[in-house]
Amino acid sequence: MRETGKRKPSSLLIKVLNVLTVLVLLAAIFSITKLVTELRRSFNREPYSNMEYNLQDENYGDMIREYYNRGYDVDPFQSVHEEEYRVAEYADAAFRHLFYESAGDEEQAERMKERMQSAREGTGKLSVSADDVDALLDSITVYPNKSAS
Amino acid sequence: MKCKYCGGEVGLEESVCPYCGKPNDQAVRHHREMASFRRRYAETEAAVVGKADHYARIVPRMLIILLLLITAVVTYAISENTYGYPEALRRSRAERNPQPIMETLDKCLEDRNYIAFSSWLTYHSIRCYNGPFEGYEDLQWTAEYYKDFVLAAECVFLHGELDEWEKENTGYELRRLCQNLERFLETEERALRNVETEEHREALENMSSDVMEMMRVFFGLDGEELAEFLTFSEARKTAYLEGVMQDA
Repeated sequence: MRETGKRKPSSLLIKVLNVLTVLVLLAAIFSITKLVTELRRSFNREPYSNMEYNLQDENYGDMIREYYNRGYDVDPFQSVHEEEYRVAEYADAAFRHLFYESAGDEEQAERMKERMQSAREGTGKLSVSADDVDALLDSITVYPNKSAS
Repeated sequence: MKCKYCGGEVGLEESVCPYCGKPNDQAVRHHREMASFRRRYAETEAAVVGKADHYARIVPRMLIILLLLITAVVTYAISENTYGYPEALRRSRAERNPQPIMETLDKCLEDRNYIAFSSWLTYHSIRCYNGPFEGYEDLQWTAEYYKDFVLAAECVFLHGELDEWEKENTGYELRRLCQNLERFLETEERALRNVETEEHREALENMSSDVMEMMRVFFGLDGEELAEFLTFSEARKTAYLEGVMQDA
């Protein structure tokens, strides 16, 4: 009598534990899958690029920002959007070339010109965007150096 | 033992005396007690075995549940914080092998490419408070705000035709430009007080010169005008630059 009385609750407890085991196993599988997915996404963080969108929008400033945020020239994902990154590099070099030239810093202006040329070579079919950047820079009013004049 | 009737030798297991045939009371009591002991022994054994069996079925299950639960919680917690892992990995690699990074940083300084200098530090998540990159501490934040200032200036000027929403928000980039200008000037002043090498002093002066020249080249602010502009509040600075751009 005592044995059968003890077995009933224990078998119920074991059933509960079995159900719990299955649930926790599912939770562990879910967590491990999530971890693997997140690690993959984290180490392949390409989908967050806005290069194409900003290029369509002619938002070269934000393209330059992304270019630098991705480590200037070391991020492996730059190769995925190689031409867009070269447009960004061209825009940056061209803007700073305009600045250094206007400021009378010939050494830096020359350095930027070299960067412009090298970046333009990599723009490929997006070279038209480099032309747009040139047109934009032509439209900027720059103020002459009063002390120089 | 001896039979209490005839005195003959009688064993404990013998219920009657083999000599006189009279009943052996002690044997009868012994049998009764032995039966009782056996019953209690069986009950105790059943209880112990039952309990052991009970724990043997429950404890491993509970251990498995606990183990799985810890696995689930730990992996979930890790998966929620994976965003910074690539940066942490890059920082760890940079700290383990700092020489190539330092060569690139020195090359950036030599080329006066302070934006690239700052980008490299940021990309590798390097904080120069201590460790192998400590020597760049006096430049890090000034270069960071220099970069932000120049990038904000590029955002102000390098965009195509603005749509209606963007036109209403043109002040945003100018405000950012003004904020970064203020931050740059504050950190540059501090850095100049703590600068350790002539090369770094020159880098700070070059950055400062670039920022001031940029204000002159793109906004026509020079000398006294610039000094007065720098005393304005952030909102007034933004409004002033908006006015300059509209006039242009």
